[in-house]
Amino acid sequence: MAGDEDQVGDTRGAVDDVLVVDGLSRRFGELRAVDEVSFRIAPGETYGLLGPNGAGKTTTISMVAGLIRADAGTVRVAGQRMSPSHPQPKRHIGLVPQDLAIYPELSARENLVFFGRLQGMGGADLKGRVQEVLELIGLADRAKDKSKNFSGGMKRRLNIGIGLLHEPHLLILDEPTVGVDPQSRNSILESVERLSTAGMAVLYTTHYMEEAERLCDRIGIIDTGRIQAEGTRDELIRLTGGVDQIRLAGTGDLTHAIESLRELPAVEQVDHDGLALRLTVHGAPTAVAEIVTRATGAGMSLADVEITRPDLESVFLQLTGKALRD
Amino acid sequence: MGRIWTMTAADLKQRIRDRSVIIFAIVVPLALMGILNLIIGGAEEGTELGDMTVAASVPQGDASADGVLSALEGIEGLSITVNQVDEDRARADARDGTATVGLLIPEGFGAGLSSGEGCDVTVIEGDGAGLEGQVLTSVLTGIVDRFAAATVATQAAGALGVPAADLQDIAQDVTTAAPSISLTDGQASDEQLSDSGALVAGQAGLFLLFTVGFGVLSLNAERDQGTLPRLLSMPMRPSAVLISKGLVSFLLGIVATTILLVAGGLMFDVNFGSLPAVALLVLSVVTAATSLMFVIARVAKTAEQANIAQSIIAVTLGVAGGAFFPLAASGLLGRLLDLNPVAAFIRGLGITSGGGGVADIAGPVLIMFGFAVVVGVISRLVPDRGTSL
Amino acid sequence: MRPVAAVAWAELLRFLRDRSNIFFVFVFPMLLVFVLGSTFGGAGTQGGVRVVGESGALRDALVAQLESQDLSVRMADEDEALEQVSRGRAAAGLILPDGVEEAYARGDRIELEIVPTSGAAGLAMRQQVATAVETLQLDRAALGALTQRGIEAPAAEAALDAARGRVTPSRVTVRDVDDVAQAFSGVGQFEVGATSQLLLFVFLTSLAGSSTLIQARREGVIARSFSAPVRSGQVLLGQTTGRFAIAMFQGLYIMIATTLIFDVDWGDPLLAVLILACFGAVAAGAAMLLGSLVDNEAAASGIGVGLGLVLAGLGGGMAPLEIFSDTLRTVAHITPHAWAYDAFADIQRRGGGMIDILPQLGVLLAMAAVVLAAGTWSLRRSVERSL
Repeated sequence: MAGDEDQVGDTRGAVDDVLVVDGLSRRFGELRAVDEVSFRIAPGETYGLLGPNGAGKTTTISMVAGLIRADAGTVRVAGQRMSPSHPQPKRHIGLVPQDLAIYPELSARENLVFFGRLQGMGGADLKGRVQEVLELIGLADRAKDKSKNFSGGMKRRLNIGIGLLHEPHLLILDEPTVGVDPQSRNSILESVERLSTAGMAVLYTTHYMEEAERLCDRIGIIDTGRIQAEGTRDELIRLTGGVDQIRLAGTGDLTHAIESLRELPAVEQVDHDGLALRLTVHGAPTAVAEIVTRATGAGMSLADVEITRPDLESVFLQLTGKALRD
Repeated sequence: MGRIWTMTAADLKQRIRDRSVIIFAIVVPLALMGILNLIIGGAEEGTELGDMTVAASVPQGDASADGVLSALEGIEGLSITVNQVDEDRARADARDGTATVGLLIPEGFGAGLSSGEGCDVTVIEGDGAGLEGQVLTSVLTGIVDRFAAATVATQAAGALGVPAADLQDIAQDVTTAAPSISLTDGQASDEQLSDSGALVAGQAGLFLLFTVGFGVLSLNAERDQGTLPRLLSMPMRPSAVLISKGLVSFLLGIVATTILLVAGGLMFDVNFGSLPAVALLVLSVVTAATSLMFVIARVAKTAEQANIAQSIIAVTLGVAGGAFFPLAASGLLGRLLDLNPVAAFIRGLGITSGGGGVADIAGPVLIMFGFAVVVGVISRLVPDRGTSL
Repeated sequence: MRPVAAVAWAELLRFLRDRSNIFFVFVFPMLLVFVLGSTFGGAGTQGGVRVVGESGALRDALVAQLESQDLSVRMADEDEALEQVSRGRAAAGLILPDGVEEAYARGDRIELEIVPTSGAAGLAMRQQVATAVETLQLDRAALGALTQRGIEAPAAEAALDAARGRVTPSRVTVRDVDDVAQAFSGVGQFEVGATSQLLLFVFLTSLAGSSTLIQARREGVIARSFSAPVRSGQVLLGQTTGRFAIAMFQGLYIMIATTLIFDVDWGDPLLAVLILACFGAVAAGAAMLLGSLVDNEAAASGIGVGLGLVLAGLGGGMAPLEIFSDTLRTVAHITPHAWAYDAFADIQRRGGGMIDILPQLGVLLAMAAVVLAAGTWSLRRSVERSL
């Protein structure tokens, strides 16, 4: 049982972390599907595993959720060791598999009640919670319809609703937006954001860079079974030397504006290329409001503001030498 | 246990909703029983030999011919009526089934016998002569053989110089000789189903192998459709899923087999005998059939493969077990066929319908449970390609 | 015609590439023909008698006599004989007690035990064995009649042997005018089974194939074919032709394989194929109808297999029509199977020609026209609804 006692030496707030994955490995024959993967998720944090198809995301999630055994390494959820034969820690997770894991012959309510019972819920508690979730996923008025008659988006929402039913500490979403129309996709992303705000820890796998950027507090870039790099979006981009840029086009007192802008802590550098000001910035989306205020306050009249951020696509390309989607 | 029951109940609800189990487990087998019973009903032989009628065309004033007829009527234990008619009528009656057989004794029959020149008798078997026809033919052959033997004896006696006056007595002695070999009737226990009973039991056994698939084999479907990972992420032992699927198979099997036996029994007037013994047989055959599904579920990679493997095994075991017609093999092959749970089930029902109780069906029950144990062990040994992630 | 052929060819390929079909289309029919042929044409082991006892003159004489009565005789030990009798696998057991051979040799009165199986078959066999035993003791009775009159046994036996040589014994000849028996006289062991299986499987395979039609509908293959630059009629015709090709393939396979393996005589090959084609057309139409009326693949294959088995059972696809009662035979002719069965029987067993089977072919074609029209109409409607 290697790794069982090594909680003491942790550097980040180990005691509070909802999920601690340490040195997880799994082979399929000769293939090292997952190779020494480690990461942690704190309460309220959304962690993204970003990688192409076949990178090892689903195998990692299967071990985290206790579906399959790990060859090496440990998974702890809310401090409890996870393994296929230990039912107890599974109470703390809600898994939303990539496929539509719902029973088509059962209604939305029956699906929720069924999985709720398997989670050990019952009575008025289950009944009340099912109603809450039905309203949350917007299926309250279709609760009695067989789910095989639902649209794709409705099925997806039900699929996620089942994972939320027992209010787990950790919600695991495996590529929940694959094959989903843009509208449903947006509603899924919004609900994940809401949950995260409400304090739920989320493990989110995707091969869509935009989703990882939008949702995830921290991202692990995974390829060929290994975590290639990990951090916040900005940390990852800085890791590869990429920086945010803001371009301010306009007229007025540009010299004063440049001086005023250089005083801001988020601004690293300001250049003037004749037509516009070009700023190198940390965290452009949060800093842009203040930058605009400063620039106009300093007498510049703005015609156009443009933010350019290096994206995770380029990070991935640089780390692995291949594109994220192919 | 609560979770296992939750899964079992949900599965049963779904299987009943999608109706396929009702079609396959109840409707099709009952329809087939009905049709096949109609067919064999037309050709069915009763459980007793019926009354036999002989339409006989006999020459006038031929003492030997009259002797044949009186011998025929004197056979003990058979109810034989002889109608003397002309030749054309004898043929017609035999052809249309008015008489069981027609008997044509030609002119000169007696003369042929006494001269030793011989004279053949003709038996006409017509529509539906059946077993009774065979019996009559054999009886008539016996009678004619007796007359022939008497001829031989009188001829031999004549050659040896026995007075002509005694020859008549010698013939008499031969034709009425007290038997030197007698037959006593022994009894074997009755372990047979009627034709309709065999049909009901066979179809129930065959379709059971399809019915139990709706439980265990849904494991493969759940893996294909993605609900298996979700089930395995629930706070319960993974074996709970297997147990609940087995339970679904088992319950569906028990219910379907019971319905088929009861409905079939009522429709075709079959009595399967002792209720506890029949219940034990149903229990054992469903256990054996369910165990087989676990092997299929593990070996098959997809739900489709599982269904194909199931159909092949079901029809093979069904046909070999005698679901459509009894296979009468003996020796090693016969023993091998006996190990088939469908065959054991049909045989067990034969014993109970013949009046056997729980103690009498030990053999078939042991075969079925033994089958379940062996196959259960095999299911743990074969590589798991279908039920793991 | 090219688009039609393309769709039909694609359907046939789909069918052949489905590995699940290997067993049911190629192996299973042959297996059933073999098993049915063995029981139909075999010696009727069920009616047999099991003889138990040590070997000797008595046993040999009994066996010879029983066999001369056309009975199937097999030796067995007592337990086996009783078990087979109990299970109805033998009609009776004949048990020769220990020491009976010596008693027989001495000319003593002897007693044998007969154990008939329950039911009429047992009673009949009991009677047959009684006849055999009685015949066997006739020689003794003749000898007894002579020795009683003071003739020495050796002289009497010699005289009896001589007399047997002179006398032409009177015999019983059996004329069978039973329609069923006559219908099958001179028919090979596997012929009837092969015809039945042909009808069963051609129809069953077609109906079960209706699920691919549903799949194609759901996946939009049919809708897409409609969008190709062909007339919708051609797509429907292609689908129908596809079903028909599958039916013909199955039927021809069974004809050729049974001819090669079991030496089955299908009569005039051209006429046989003509009957198959008419029957296949009905099967194809029925598959189209089923595939367009039902939306769920599982239900369609369930109904297909169920209907395929039931219609076959009713129409002579499981047991020869000749053994049906008259009423049932009339009812059977609501199925295409029965008409095709009659047509095959005409050319296989009754030496019939084209003229003789015209009525049957006409009925089959009329049936085909009805189901094809209904199937095409219904498919067109279901596709248009989904577009």
